[in-house]
Amino acid sequence: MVFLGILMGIVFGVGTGLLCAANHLNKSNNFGDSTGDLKSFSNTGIVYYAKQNRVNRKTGLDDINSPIIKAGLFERNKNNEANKGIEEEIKKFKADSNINPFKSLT
Amino acid sequence: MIRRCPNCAGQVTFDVNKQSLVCDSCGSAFKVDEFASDEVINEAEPIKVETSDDSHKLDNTYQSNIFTCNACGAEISVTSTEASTFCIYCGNSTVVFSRIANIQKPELIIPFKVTKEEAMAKVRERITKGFYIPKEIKNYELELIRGIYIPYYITKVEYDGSYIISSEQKSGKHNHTYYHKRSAYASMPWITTDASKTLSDTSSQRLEPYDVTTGVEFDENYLLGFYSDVSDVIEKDAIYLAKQRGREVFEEAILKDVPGSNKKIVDARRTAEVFDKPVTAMLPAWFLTFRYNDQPYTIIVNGQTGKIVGGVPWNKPLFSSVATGLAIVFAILFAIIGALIFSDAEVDGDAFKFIIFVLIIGGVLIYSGISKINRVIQAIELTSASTLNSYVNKRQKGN
Repeated sequence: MVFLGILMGIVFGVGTGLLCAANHLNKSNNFGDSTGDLKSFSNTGIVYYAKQNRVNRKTGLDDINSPIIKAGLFERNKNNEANKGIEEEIKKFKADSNINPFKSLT
Repeated sequence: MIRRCPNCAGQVTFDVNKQSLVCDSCGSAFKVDEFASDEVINEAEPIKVETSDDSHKLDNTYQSNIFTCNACGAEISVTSTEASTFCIYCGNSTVVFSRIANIQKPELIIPFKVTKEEAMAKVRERITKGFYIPKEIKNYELELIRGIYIPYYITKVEYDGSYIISSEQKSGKHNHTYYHKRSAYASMPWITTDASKTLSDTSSQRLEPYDVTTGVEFDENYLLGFYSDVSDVIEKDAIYLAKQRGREVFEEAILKDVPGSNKKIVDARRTAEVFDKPVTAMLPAWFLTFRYNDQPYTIIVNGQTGKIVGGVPWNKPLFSSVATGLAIVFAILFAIIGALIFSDAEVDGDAFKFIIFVLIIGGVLIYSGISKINRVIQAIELTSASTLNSYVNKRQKGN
């Protein structure tokens, strides 16, 4: 039993030692490993419209709900029959969406 | 392309500290947007000026010097003040000025905020702190430093997704798998993707983030005194890459919001849309090259934020000794603990199960340690990778 305890300690110790050494090397010789994230790319951050913990595995997914995407898709398909009669809604979405690239940079 | 000082006809370059154009001879300073374009003087008479059939497009172009290699016939584009350069293809120095070409102007530029001296000092300070960096590198002689404007696309990606995510959470003594639902959207107007095929995406992504909101309308006067590169990536590829990056950061944020560990996306409905043309931009970076064991290594510094990117060769004997030493010390420590715990224990099922469990954890740690070492080594070797070297050589073999 003592032998097994020592073996356990050796395996655990070698693993811990290697992991520590790898982290140390990373910190010492590898500069700047992080990249852009949502915070640096986004002006809205993440906007949740459904947030539930511990749901059933088979819970249904939601439809796309972003007003900007809806506005863009309506605009892209504005000549489609299905979109007729919703011009006012499109205008409203467009006004909210701020889709001019230069405008979005400022 | 050279700008001459209206007062003394000296050469004018962009001064990072003053954020304006400064005459190298008399020190006169001029605002970038006020410097008249008719002050441009070309070093040599052009043999041919490239023209476009669409004359209106010329408003969106700027001129760059094209050099031709007498040895292999290759053409090199140089927008900085260098009058001659080595051939980037055959390495020959017999290159001659051949013509001026019109290059499509980017829409946006972030001028250099970090000076050459600051970049050098930051790299020197960072290298000095590296425990495994050989002494020869700590006392390195800088071979070359070049300020380079890297072409980028800035793409606005609208992302929307609904997800079912599994995660493991402890409940009582056991771990259970639970499912969570997250539906969200994010507008990401500032996704930057480099527009140079020669610079690896890994290198350019590690330079991020750039604060593109501080960018200004492109003016070629900002290029004076620096190298610059033109885009060779098509818009369609930039949009594809921006959508991919948008998805990565969006899902990373979604997963962070879910409680528990070992999180996995098990079901998703997602869309990434780009409704606007990507903005073309030039973003600043300093490329510092030093030599170690006859191999060139390059460290890149973000010219706006001063972030340092790159890997430095490590002292292999020192690292092996430290890794072995740590492994031995921890092994002895845990072996003693193991021996003490089990010295009086009976061989029963529970004790045996515990030992097997710890052995498995130890095995996972060893595997993780070795994998991590390999990943770090790969990241460190990035600076000597052919893609980065080709990019650097292309721009640093100036006279």
